[in-house]
Amino acid sequence: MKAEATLERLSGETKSFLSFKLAEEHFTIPVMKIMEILEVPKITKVPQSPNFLVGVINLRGAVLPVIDTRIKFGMSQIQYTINTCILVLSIEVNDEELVVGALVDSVSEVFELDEDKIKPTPTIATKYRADYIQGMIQENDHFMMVLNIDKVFSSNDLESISESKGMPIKED
Amino acid sequence: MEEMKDTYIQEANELLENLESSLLSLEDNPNDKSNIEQVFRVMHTLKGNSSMFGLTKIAEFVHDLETIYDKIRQGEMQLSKEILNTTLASFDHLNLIIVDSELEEELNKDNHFKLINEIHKFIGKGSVNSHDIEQVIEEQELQPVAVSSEPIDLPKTFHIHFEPEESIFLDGSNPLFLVAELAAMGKSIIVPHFKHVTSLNDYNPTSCFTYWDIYLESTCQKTDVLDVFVFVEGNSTIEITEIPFIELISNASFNEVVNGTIFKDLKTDITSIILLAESIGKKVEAEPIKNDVLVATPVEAQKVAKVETKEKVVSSIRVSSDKLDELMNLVSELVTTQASLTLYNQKNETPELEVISENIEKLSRRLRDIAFGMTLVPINNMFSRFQRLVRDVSMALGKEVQFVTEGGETELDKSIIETLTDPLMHIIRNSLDHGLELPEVRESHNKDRKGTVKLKAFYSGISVYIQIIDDGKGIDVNIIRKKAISKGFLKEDEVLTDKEIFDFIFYPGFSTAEVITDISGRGVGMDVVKRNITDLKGVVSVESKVNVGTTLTIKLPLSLSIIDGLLVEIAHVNYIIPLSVVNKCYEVDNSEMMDNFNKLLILDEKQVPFINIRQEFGYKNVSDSEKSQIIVVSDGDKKVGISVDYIVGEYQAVVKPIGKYYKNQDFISGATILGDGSIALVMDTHKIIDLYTEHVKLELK
Repeated sequence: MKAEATLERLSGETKSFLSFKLAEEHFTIPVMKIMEILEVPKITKVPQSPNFLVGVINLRGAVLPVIDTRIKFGMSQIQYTINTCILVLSIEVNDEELVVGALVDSVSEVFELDEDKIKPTPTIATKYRADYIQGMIQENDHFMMVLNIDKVFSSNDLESISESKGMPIKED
Repeated sequence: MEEMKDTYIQEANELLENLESSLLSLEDNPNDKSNIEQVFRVMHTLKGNSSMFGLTKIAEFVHDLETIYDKIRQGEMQLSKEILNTTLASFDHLNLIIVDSELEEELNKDNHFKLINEIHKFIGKGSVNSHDIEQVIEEQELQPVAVSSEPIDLPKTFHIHFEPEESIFLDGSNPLFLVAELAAMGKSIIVPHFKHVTSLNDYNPTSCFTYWDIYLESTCQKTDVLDVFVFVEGNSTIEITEIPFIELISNASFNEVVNGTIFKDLKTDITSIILLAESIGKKVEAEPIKNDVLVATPVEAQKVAKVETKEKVVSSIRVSSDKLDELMNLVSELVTTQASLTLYNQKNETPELEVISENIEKLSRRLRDIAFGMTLVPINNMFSRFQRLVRDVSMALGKEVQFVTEGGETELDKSIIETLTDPLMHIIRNSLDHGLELPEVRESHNKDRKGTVKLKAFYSGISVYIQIIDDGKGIDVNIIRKKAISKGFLKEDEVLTDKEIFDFIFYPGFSTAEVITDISGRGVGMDVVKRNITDLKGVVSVESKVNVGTTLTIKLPLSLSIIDGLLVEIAHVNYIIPLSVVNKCYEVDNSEMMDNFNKLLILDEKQVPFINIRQEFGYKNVSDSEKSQIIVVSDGDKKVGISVDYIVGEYQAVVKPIGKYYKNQDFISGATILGDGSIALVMDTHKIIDLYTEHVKLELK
């Protein structure tokens, strides 16, 4: 996956991206990572779980964990509106595929972009962890952050953020 | 038995495939430690499998080969081109001899001893004159042939009296299968008899009242016939008589006589049958065996066997587990959708729709059964394979062993069962070899002469537990500790719990056995076991007490399982409590729970500790209604009450994992989808009770 991405970057290939909003900020991720977009169904909260884990939903017979992306980014808890939706993401953690639902305030659009246009993130003055952000792109008058979603949603990272009492995961 | 042989060949082929790829990559990269380990492990498993099936020649051969790689692994030897060449040649040879395990083909035999000699050179056993071995082996081989007076290829008639005990159904045996197996061995007349039942009151439908007289004309040996009954020998009367005449089965008057007793409770008088046979049958001519006949026949027979295995392979196909998983997902989706259809239909009664909905329900149920049948098999299939192993190994070791299995009906993924067979084989062998003592030693410790090895499987929550329990000498924590220190796994002054120390057993290269035997003791077994089980996302642990015995527990999560559960509601969230742990339900006033200092309720005049789940789960302390339901669940020997708001009813739940994100919430073992599409969480009551006990301890501190 990584090798592929590098290759694409070298050739400056055009890729599709989806942009979405959390509070007033715009983010974008490669469309390839998104399996589908859902309206918010009934979510079942798992007791005693960290607050960014909203619960689990029934995705056509499979059980899908759902994450409040806003809490994950240090914002306030998500407020459900008609635009709130769940992005079903397929992410890669330690060479394993993990499917997870990400609650976002709204999705904006799908657009195509030359990978060359992704600019490196300024290393200072960002309020988000640098390894979560792959780069920035300029769209008209506003900037959008391209997320490295494998990092953002990897459960290992969740571990470090959450105040759960369990043992740290052993890498074996 | 044939079926098991097929399984063996299939597994051996897979192992050999593995071996080949590892060997080839070793050739490119001779210093790759992990590949050497891999080669060694595959050989070790192959050796184990072969000796389990009594194929000693293959087992010995692989044992020698394995020794080379053991030495390389330990750094005592360097992998050389020559070793690899020999190994690859041995690999080709193994491919041939797994279907010719007795080396009946001349070419295979020659090759076998040539290779053994080469291998012995590497491991320094000293060259043995190939001719010597050959002769010794040949003598051994000839022996069984010399003992049986009959030439192998001539047909004989057997009279088999097979009378199973009335309780035979209770251990899951089906005598009809055995009869069918016999019938497949040649031409046969099968005469069933019914035991006389005086009145219907005496009739017990779970008892077997049938016995059989079977006349079989076949080229096989008496031992082959006896082999059919190997698993029921203990609880049936089996008498096999050879009638020295043939062409009886097709004879009309013979048929008439033997069929005369059909369904009657009449013991057949074998002498009169032989007299009858004498008058109508053709005498079996006991020709002296010519030497060339002896060699030629087995080869031919073996060719036939080869063709048969090929045919059998075609009858089943391999499907990737991904596809099966997807099928299962779709089926459960269908079941869920169908549940909503039924729900909709109940609300809007339309006769036409009702018919359609009922049909769909029927179809989806059948589809579900088939889909589950494809992936889930009762663990019994695997258990029965070990009977033979235990018997053979314990005999070889001179130990008296009672092998008990429990919970054979527990269902597991087929692929999991396949992967589990090897580790369990290792563990059982270890128990027999190192765990159980010799009969004399046991007596001196005031134990029953007969040791017991128990294989137990059961569900808890969404996990399956498999335990191997022996009542042998146990493992001494101190010995393991010392060994761990001497191997450098542990520092002198480190303090560990007993459990942590027992975990050293699973370290690569850790063996406490003083002597390496053919059966176990190289210290590979247990780390392979651990790795195999970790691959299945399972956990393995050991508990042991000196002189009391050792219990090895394997816990496996189920990717998919169906449990009967009790659907309950707590704070508007649905939960499932596995019905298997539920004892009884009671209704209590909330006030009784709230002002309860001791956390004890009096139910049916007994004190029962209880857990206020709302409190534990961080909801408001009690529900808005005045009453709560207490569900008394058993946890081992304990009984604990768990409070819930409402009991909805029984529910058959397809349990699905809730994913890695929730690994710290392991008191929820999974989730299931209800008819209306919403989710219910499946509780692992064992974990909840553990968690609660920990809380209470912390509070006390």
